[in-house]
Amino acid sequence: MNTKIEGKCYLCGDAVTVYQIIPEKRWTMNRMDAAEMSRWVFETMEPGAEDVPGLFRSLGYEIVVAGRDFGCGSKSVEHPVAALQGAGIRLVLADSFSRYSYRNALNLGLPVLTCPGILEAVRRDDVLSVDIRTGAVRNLTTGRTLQAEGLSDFALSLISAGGLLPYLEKEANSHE
Amino acid sequence: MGSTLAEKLIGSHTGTGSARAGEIVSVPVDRLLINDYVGAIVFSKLEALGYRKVAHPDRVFLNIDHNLPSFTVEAADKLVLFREKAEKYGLTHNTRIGSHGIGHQLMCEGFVRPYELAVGTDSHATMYAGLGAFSCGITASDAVSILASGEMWLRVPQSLRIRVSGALRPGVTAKDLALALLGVFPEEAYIYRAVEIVGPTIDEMSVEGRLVIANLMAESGAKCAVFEADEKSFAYTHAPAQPRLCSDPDAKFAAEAEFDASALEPMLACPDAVKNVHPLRQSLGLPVDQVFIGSCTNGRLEDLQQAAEILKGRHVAEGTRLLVTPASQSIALEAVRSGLMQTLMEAGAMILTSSCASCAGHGPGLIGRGERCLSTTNRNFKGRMGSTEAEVYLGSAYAAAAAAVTGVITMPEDLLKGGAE
Repeated sequence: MNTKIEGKCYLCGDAVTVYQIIPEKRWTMNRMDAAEMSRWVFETMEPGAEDVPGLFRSLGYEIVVAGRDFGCGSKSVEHPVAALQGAGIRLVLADSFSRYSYRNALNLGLPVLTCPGILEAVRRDDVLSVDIRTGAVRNLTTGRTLQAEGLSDFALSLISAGGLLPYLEKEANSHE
Repeated sequence: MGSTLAEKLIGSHTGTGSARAGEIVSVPVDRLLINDYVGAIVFSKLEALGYRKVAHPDRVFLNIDHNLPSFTVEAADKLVLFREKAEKYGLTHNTRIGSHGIGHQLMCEGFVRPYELAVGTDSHATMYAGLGAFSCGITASDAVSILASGEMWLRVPQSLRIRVSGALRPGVTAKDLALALLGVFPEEAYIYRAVEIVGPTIDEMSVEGRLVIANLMAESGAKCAVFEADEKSFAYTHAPAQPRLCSDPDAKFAAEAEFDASALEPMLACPDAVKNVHPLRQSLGLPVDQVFIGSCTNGRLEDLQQAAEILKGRHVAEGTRLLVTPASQSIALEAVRSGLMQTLMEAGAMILTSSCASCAGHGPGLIGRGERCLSTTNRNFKGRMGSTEAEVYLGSAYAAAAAAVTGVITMPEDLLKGGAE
């Protein structure tokens, strides 16, 4: 499995709530439609994005860098993570994560790395190269390096399978 | 090095018989709650995986509580869907109108037992810890994993420990203590940790009180609360008694604190954050439009009794409305039998059937523009109970009843010591 991810960074601050990732009015609890939800990611955070479908996605960000308690609001739903993935996000780095967001991200196959100090070390639009296994973070724009917590083998196997459910499917098939 | 109680509760479920903080383990789940909020997505994912059977149907409880009785066609359709899935997968524990209630409460009425590993597709599944179980909230993929394989993955949390001593003063409740315990450690310390709550005050406390604290601990950012099980826990759950499990004396905690409950006064979580906790006296005299007594946090008999202590022989103030929603039909029935319901209704309370009601903003009892609500529920984010231009204060049933009687935020003890006029 290739554990290197390289991409342009979108910066958020501390305590970004699930509703800031995507407003609740943009989802339904009848289904989870990542493509539809992805049109509204960060619409209240990014100036000019409110009610403009797909604006955030069109900016071409692949990595989100955040401060403390990313994805808080204690919401036991996976929609915000699915929406981020739909909008082209392949990795989130944060000083710390709210429990649901961390768990939901791994369950949906989105790598999330805890990296104390990351918010101060990165500016918007910097390009990062990250090894999600070792946790080595290199800011290709500034040359600065940081150390994140690498993902465990189990977490990597979830990521590699594309999430918990594809992982279960694979496990079930391998035992047949 | 010894083990924490959280490590023991998880460890007793792993293949090796042990669990260490930081490890990721796969564990069999003893009890699973799936509610109507997330349920439709759970079943669509399960079916997309091609599973035709649920690993342990007898361990699953399928419940409708966010939207009950159905007041939208969408909700009515969910009841139909749940009925179909219950039949298809042989899930015999499911919502029966007439013995309905809030899922978390029904989980604690004879389903979850001490030392079990019990989870639910909702944040306040942390509540079952009040029984001595290991419990936390999960999301749809986890529920699918449990339905399909009987197991889920857990990252074993580090623990914080709070030792609570001292007797609560009259008019001060488990809710006030729960609110205060959200601020014992810095905010960051709670995230992803287990919060072990022990001490003489907890030993003295009713199981209902422990459930309040375990429920509200979801708001701290913690993974879960952890309580020791005692004779009361086993009696409450009608489970055969077992030896008491505690953290080892040399167990390692991320942080420990002592809390003196004897000095505690009535507390309120002020708008618009549950952690915005202040002594109630700082909000005295604020007019209140709606008082709500209910929810999985504080809709039990003990809460209705507290409310009745203040409401007996009195009446809800002109211009204020009081809504009471017992957390389950069996609580409502007991309140009828014991005369509590008559007291509440004579005082002018509007009684709703058991559900989450307006607590999560999906049910009856919403508040409008510019209104203020004093509620016994667990969240007060902007717009949580209705209009985004309304305010929600969270407090105990005593605080709620006192505000209902006077129409303004009032010290409960002012109405408790005098008794009925």
